[in-house]
Amino acid sequence: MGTRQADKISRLELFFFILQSVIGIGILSLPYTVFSESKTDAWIAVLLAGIAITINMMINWKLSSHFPSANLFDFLPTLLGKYLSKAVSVGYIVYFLAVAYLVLLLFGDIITRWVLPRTPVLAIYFLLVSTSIYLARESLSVITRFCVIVSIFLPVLLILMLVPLNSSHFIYIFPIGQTGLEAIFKGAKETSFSIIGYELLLVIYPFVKGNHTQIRKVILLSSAFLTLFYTFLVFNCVIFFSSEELEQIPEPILYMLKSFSFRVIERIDLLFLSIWIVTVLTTFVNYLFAASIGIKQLFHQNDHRHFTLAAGFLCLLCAEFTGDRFLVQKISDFLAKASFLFVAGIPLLLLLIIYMKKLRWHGR
Amino acid sequence: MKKSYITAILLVVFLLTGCWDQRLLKDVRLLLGVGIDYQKGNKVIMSSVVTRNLEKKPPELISTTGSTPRDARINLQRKLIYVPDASKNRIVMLSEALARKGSILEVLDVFYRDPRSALNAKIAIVKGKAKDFLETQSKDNPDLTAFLDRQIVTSEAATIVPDVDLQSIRTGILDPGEDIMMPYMGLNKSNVEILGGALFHGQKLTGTLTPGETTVALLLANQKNKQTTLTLPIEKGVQMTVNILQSKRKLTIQPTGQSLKVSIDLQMNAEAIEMPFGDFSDQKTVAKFNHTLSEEINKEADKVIKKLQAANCDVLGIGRQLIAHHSSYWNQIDWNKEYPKINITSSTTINLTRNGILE
Repeated sequence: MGTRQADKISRLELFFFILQSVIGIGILSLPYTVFSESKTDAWIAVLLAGIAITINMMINWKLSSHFPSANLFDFLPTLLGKYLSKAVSVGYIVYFLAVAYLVLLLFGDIITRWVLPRTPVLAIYFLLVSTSIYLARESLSVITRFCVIVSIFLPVLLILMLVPLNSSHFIYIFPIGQTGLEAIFKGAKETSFSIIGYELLLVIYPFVKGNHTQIRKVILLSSAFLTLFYTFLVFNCVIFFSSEELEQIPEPILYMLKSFSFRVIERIDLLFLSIWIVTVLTTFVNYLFAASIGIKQLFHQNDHRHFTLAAGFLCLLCAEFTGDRFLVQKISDFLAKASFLFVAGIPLLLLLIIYMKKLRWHGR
Repeated sequence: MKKSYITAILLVVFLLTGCWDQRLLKDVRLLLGVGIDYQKGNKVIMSSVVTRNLEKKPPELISTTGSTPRDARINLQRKLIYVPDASKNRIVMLSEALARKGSILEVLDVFYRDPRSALNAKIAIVKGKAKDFLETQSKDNPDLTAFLDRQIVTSEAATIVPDVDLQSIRTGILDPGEDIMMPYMGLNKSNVEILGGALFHGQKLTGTLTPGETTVALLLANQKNKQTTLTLPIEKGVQMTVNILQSKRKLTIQPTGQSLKVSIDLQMNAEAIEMPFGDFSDQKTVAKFNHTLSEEINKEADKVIKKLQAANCDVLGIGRQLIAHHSSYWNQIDWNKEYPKINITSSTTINLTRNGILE
């Protein structure tokens, strides 16, 4: 795929693209998910997961850096041959769509439960999907610029999270390490499953300006930011709720904010949710974009717009006809495992293939 | 053309979504306070203070019965033209009898489960029936029923009652290492009064403290609020009132083998705000005052600690300290059985640093 100069994005834009792809649907329930495994050591588990995520990111970077002007769908054929590469491409496209679909499902569920109980969930889906299609139809630079602009909301989220600190009990985290290594690792595993989004790097890498080391620096920065961001959220919840209480609250951040009110804004949780919707939107857009780029290249087309429209509505349809929340839970669990394959497994395998090919070449 | 078409569709959607979930203030009657009583046959009586939005009148009090609080609220709806809305609820009052049954979280579930309910509403235990309490208030001064929570909020600031709300009591109840204390209110003849603190063991009301004792308990628990006054005997027939300016608490916990030694060291700086016969210019006199005050507060503290232990109410959070710093000891014992038996000593000192504008 030719990379035109106009489509290039700066490294700052890459940084915020990664942040906005990763931060999204998961932040509301992550403290609950990790806590159910690692209890009061949940924050340690998140820190550990941060290391795993950084390693994964580095694998993705290393793989992409071998192909400075080609993205995942371009370089797969050179590594895997004609037919296998098609299969893997389709796999990635389905994976991107599945993540978008899950984001949509969870988004509808949370909005229904917290804000709009009487609104048909289809209307909620439609609002997200239609706005997302509108944005994902555009070029990468438009999307990343949007990611940069809406990132001014991230500090607001952090500031809102400072509100409960005054009524928190720091003693809840003691004794540190009481749950044991096994529980902490389990929590870290859960966390690294739910913090995904940086694998989109494989699709956009050739569009980033700058050399490999400069890009690596940006990626490392973003992983550090993400780790600290998530650790802060989880830590905040652990010191606010007592153990048994946190196990009963699937969206602890909202619940925590709900118990505070300012003079002007009574429901801080709704303020948080409004900002959170934007971060969910960017996640959804980025995945939709990646999927439609994949489809475009799979069929050797020049324009991804129609595919964006189709992919968006496919997600909408699937979400509408998904059954009860237990099924959603199963899908979510399955996708968490599948994500491991696409985020770390396949990239690592491809990297090995590159090294093997190089060895053979040197051998000759 | 095509673009404007899409934009038009999108705009229509935005107009539509509000309809399903809009709640107009004119179509609801806001619940400002709720009192819950237990009735025989596993029923609850819910007395709700609801606004009258059409007439410009003070809120009215309506009592309904139901098998659960939610059921009672649905029954309330049958009595009203508009939908009752709990999103602006300011206070929940539970009757003493209900709290003694030992399952207040079940009763309060409706307030926790509903995404729109106000988690920062105040909560209080009422001596006698919550219904009678609210009825008296409503008859005497119906305007005031809209501000029932204010009485608690001002008492919180004066360290007369603990600073708790619906959310924070749930955290405390569900934590194995601490217990909670709630404001205790009641009728004195026909006056609505703060009666002190209601002591809980888990979800069960197990005892009460007088206002003075509650203040001491809060000081021991390191929960001094903006203002804290204590009136203590200083000589025979003479009382001195002091305002605590600063308080420093140190909780030392030493598990030695099977027994546990807990000592509370409380050091306070105070200002004399009433002492008709005092002479604060003399250093010796002030030292004597300090000594007597410290002695008196120590007696009071011992009494309060005994009461807390009798009620099995670990409001000081000793169990939490054990979990955090002595977890091996914590794992061996059953705190519910151990707490009333442990040895808690306190040493409290008051140091007068100010005496107003008189010597």
